[in-house]
Amino acid sequence: MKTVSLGQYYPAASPLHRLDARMKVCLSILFIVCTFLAKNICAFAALVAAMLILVALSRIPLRLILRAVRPVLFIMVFTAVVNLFVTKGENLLFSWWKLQIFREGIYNASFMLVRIITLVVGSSLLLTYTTTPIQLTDAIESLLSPLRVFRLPVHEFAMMMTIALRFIPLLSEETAKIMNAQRARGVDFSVGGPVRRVQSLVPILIPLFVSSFRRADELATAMECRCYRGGKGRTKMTIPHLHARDGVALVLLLLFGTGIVLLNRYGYGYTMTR
Amino acid sequence: MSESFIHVKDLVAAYEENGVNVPVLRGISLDIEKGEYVAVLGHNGSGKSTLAKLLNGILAPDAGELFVAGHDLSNPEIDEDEIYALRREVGMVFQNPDNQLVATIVEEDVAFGPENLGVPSAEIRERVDRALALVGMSDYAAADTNCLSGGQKQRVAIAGLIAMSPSLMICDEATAMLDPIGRREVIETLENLNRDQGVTVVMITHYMNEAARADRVIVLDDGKILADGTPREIFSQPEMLRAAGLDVPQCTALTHALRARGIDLPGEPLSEEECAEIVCRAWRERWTK
Ligand SMILES: Nc1ncnc2c1ncn2[C@@H]1O[C@H](COP(=O)(O)OP(=O)(O)O)[C@@H](O)[C@H]1O
Ligand SMILES: [Mg+2]
Repeated sequence: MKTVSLGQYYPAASPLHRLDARMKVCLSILFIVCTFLAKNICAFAALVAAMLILVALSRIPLRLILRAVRPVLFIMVFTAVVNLFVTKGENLLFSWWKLQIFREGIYNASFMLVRIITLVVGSSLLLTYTTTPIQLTDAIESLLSPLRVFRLPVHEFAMMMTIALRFIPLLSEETAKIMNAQRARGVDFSVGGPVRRVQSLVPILIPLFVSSFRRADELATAMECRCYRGGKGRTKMTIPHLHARDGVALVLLLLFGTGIVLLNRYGYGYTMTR
Repeated sequence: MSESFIHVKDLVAAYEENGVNVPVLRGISLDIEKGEYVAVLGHNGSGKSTLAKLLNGILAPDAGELFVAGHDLSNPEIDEDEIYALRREVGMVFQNPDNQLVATIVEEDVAFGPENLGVPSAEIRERVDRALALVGMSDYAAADTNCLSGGQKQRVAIAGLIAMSPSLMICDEATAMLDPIGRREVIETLENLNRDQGVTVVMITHYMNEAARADRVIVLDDGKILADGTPREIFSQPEMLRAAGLDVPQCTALTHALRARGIDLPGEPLSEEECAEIVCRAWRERWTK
């Protein structure tokens, strides 16, 4: 079925779903910072523990969470391999021709893996899986609203995001359809050098562009018919309110960040060189 | 000022193409009363969509009178606010269900219209719940629109309009991209709205069986009204339907063929059941003679 992990809201009644979307945006940024702060084994263990707690809190099926990791699999493998070979240290484990693997390299590679997994899982649990696209774009609109002072089109930006989140799955489905249609006409997308391959994309991109413009045109008419006139005078179905739980979540995450910093300093075990 | 809900007189509309004026509607006159359920038939390119867009203020007429819900759309100096006021009253359902939904989650999309109108939050919630209940989509309030069937998406689109409480609903071939089940869902939703909420419906279609269920059928042909009457009146004129480039419904074709053979059939059947009934009755009468 659909494999696009963008904006894959999963409806459920969990504490994460109930948090205010604006708070969740801030929390995910904090959490991402934490994944980059972590330096030694203890800190990374704390990260993994925090991720597992989030997984448990979110009530989202594991297979969905794994699906979020799939698109970054290549980046993960790539980063891990680079770290494995590039890191120089004191304990040489293996050496062949110019390739050397140090124990430190293994540590660094695993740390990077953990960092990417916790980053992706943490931010999808805090944002995309537990926040509807509208809540998300409303939150961004509200967080960016101070920029209105500089006459930046904050509402328009949020509306663009809303529409993009809605249409990306449709367009990716359409791409697959067009590719199949071209395959049925004998186009092989997997042969030839890079130039040939790029050339074979042209018959996909042109129909895709044509149909996107038609969609955009129809959507614009439909939006006008529904009395859309930009952000002025608009109200919202749900007005977000900060609750005590949002404060608690923020405090917990700040404590967690402090904990990571302390573990970096006082924890034992291997510490990342970079 | 006219009395009718929709008042159209000698309406002319043209598109400009390479500097040449191509007339699309060439003198149309019709009046539609509040609460009517009107089907508009016509072959491709006969000007149905153009008429729909005129009724909604998307296009402006070139000549003639055009009043919709008390707004004079033939006034060339009509201002944006009046068009806006008109569009609160006139909902428009388009052909492609994918290209009229704005938000990903069903209830958030339904809320889009009332949010644009500046309705207070609590009332939006009420309107959304009510609209979803009216189209039978309450169970899908939190669902992703991409996971719905075509018929369900169209019902969400209709709910999005109901939430703005319009008095007129225009459907431009809203069932054309749907399977038979989706078509029936949408038609029944519209019929319920018309019957229970008193919403006036103008339904553009080229399915004869959908038109047969309307109160009134208008046949457009090359920018002119060829016929305007009850479904029975319209479907009793197969020659006119053929001249308009339309299919003749099977039961009409059958009864007319039988009559041409000298079999006396009473009335004009609109559905297969009615048709079967009058043919059976005629058969039985023949047998008893
Ligand atoms: N935007 C446009 N520019 C130029 N010509 C158009 C435009 N839209 C429609 N037409 C022409 O107007 C005629 C009627 O179109 P339309 O109202 O869409 O018919 P229908 O909906 O009955 O198929 C067609 O001949 C079409 O080519
Ligand atoms: Mg049309």
